[in-house]
Amino acid sequence: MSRRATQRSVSERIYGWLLRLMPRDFDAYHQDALETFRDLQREARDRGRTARLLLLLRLGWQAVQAGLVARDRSPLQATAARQRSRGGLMGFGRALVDDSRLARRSLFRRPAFALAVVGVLALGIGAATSVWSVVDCVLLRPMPYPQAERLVFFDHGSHPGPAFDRWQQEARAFSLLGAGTDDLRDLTGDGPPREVAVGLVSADFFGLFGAGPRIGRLLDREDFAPGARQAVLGHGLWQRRWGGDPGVVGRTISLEGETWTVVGVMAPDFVPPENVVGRRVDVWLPLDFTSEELTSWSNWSLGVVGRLGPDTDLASAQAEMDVFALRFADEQPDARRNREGEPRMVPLVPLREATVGAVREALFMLFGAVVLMLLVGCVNVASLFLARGSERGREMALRLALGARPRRVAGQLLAESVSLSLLGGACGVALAFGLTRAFRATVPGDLPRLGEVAVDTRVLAVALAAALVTGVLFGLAPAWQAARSRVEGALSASASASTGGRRTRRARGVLVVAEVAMALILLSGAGLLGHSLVRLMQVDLGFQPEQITRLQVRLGERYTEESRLQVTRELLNRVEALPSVTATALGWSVPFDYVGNHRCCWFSRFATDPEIEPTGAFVHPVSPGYFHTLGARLLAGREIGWQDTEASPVPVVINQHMAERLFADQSAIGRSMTMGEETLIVAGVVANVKRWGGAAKPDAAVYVPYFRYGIEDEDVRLIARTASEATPGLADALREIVWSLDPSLPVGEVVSLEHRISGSLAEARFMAVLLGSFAGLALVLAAVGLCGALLYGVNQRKRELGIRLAVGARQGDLLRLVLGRGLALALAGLAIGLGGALALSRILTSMVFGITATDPATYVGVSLLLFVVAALASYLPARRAAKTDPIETLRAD
Amino acid sequence: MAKPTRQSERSSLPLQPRDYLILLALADGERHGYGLIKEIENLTEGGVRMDPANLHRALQRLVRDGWVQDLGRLPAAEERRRYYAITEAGTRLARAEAARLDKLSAVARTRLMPGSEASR
Repeated sequence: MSRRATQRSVSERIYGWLLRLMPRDFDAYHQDALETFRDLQREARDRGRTARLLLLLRLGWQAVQAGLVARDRSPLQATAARQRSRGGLMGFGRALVDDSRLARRSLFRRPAFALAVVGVLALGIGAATSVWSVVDCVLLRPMPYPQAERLVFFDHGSHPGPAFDRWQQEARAFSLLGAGTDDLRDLTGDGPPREVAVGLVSADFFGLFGAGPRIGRLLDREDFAPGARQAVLGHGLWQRRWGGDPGVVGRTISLEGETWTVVGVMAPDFVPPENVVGRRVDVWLPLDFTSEELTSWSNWSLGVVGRLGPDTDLASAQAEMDVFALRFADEQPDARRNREGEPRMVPLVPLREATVGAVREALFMLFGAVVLMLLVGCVNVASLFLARGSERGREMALRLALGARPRRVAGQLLAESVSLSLLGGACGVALAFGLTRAFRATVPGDLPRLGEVAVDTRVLAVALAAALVTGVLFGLAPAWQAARSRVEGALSASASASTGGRRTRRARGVLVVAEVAMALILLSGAGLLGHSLVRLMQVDLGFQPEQITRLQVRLGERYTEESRLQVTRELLNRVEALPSVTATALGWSVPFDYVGNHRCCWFSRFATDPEIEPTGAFVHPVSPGYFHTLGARLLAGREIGWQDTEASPVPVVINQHMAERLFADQSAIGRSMTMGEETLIVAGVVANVKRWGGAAKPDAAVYVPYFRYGIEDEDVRLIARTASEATPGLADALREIVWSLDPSLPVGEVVSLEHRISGSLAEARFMAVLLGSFAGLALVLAAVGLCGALLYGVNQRKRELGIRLAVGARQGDLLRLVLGRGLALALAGLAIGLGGALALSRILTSMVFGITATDPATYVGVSLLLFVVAALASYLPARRAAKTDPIETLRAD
Repeated sequence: MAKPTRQSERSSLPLQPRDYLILLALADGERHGYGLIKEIENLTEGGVRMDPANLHRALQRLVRDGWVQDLGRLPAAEERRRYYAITEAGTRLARAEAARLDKLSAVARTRLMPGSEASR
């Protein structure tokens, strides 16, 4: 039964849910009706998605009708309940059901009203549900591992093999410890050479994370013996390269020339812990703890996760880790103490926090924004109901006068609002599925756990509850009003001037002010993010990214230093010889090239004087012509040249930041400094190049000759500047050159730097666009709300306006009267909204760039925008008021 | 489940068109829900397309009144659908409704289409 439930498609769940509207005695037929629905769905399967959706809508609507009608006539409840008094909650509920038929009819008479309500609710609920699904999945739901809440991540970077060994043997706080790291390797044989992501893991890793095989087996303890060479394939690679052939088990694969035997394939639903082995793992291999890297205390490579023992909490585990840290610091002072001589501590962080920490704020802000938008939507719906409630005051009053019970009249209004809200909720749910899929497809960058994101039934329930609450709450207000309205008062000619009308007008005013305030909060958030984005795009990068293409070639370990030198020089020569290329160079680091686990450069300390505290900086090996190719501005001196490879002291180029720190305002050229044992001489100063993204602060950089320091790198990164923007075939030409040198070399992606830069902005742009669209929607809703409230007021006061005109008021006076009220409402909303926005601006502090979260220009800008929109929204009703025909209105009564 | 509460034929006439169609569709053998929808679509040449909720609601009523029998899931083919069959009483009821409609059609023929009487 439960298995069947999980197999149900979304539409079946929705339909099953709608069938619940049927009376209790239908339960025996529920399952069978669902089966029939399934048959009909199956039949429609070939007719495409739209046909299926239409079918669901038609059948769903009919089910709702059937449910309402059946409840109405249900013999089990009817007689008894109807005989009983109308009093009490039961009687009221009963009446509500009776009202639903009437409600349906009256709603069909006013399709525009119904559409507006359903549309606003669907949009609000759809957006809120999909964002909530992401928040829920990424931030709230436990990670998909056994006892996930007890998993802790060993923070502060990676850890050396011996430390992990000791923890594993001696630590008592953990029932299980696992370690892993990721790497890229060349896979050869069985197709073209390919770079694959490798996850290297310790023996308990799979047990810790509850991984299981799709076919074959995972790694056993024996497989961790050095030289066992057993490997497990990731599901994706198995599908792509071997087409899911189960015969792959027992075969051998070649990684960097080493032969490994495949013992199994990982289950497809296993989600690798991304901060340990990365998001995608193509091949799982055992860590070799006897290798040189893993026996060294100074090689930090392992991500470590532990499961807390049954009687341990985080604090006591942390206490144990602190004891270890102190002990390690005594035993290995070089590796386990930092520069200041303090022991290197290892803080424990719950795994989920360690995985999603960085996006928490952004996601919660997004969710807050979407909730605000939903609120604006609800307020709008509420004022629609209010307007409708009073518009129909006469109808209600008439029915009251004819003997209808106030409760019944109220009930009808309530039934209307509830059925509309439910319909809006249903559409919202459908929208949520689409939006969530779109969100998954478009969200850029590194949102953790994105692959797990899906709308689930709990979220669905929340959305529908929201819809129902909206309906009941806002349906009740006018219902209450109708029930209380004085029969005589409402029926008399001066109905609209009665206290009820005035009260409604005031209520609508409050709602409009709330809408404007919330819209302003959203607008200022969006404005701040948009403003930051513009600043980010205008930032001086220190080089000219246009027309630069980056090529990465993986030489691997097969090449000796000699042959490496030869092949890279030859590569440079051949690329330079391409007619479309004007300049080319090599560099360990290419700006905006996120190199992942492969370091771009190294950190070192530089001293100009043994007496003075040395200054730290990143060292980047670059080839001659690097700055020329990048288009970076040389501020003084010259570039590194070919002659510098052998020169002594070693000529280097430093960036402006470094020059300011080392030499203050004196000229840096010709000054010398030491890097460890070596003496360097400053040959040039270059402008700060933004490497990590536009928002990054400048860091000190020292550029050293590539062919002296950089040649041992396994990867070669080449940049080429072309004469014109579009050079079709360049990527192919570059690949051809590489393969003409060595046909077995794997060539990474060939990308333009501009592409990279635009990619680095993707996240900021995504947030700005998303928040902007929420804010835009809220703005439109607020404008509609304002316009509607004023129009309503004008209609109510038609008589009064007519009289004013008749006794000599000019049209302009009326125009000003209505416009003034609109602007007064908008200003009140603006003031409240500004207060709210400023109070909430703290949330955005870490997300803005180049401006503060209280940037006055942004707030003034969005306030002006809102004010102009409010003025436009007030103008229409104001004109309507001015156009009042006194004779007409007076005659009407 | 509640025992069928037999209703008299007379008090059930005239039949609701939907119930009449269901009885007609069951007249030549038992069917499941989906089969019924398809058969009714056939009988009316696509004019009536029932939906599961209303269909099963009607079936529930017809079973309760003893016109239709719920055969449950047929064990043979590991069926997940339930089958429904018309009962003796149901057949009689449908026949009575047919006779009633026949009479009305006769009236219609004479009053609305005087020509057609001659041509037959």
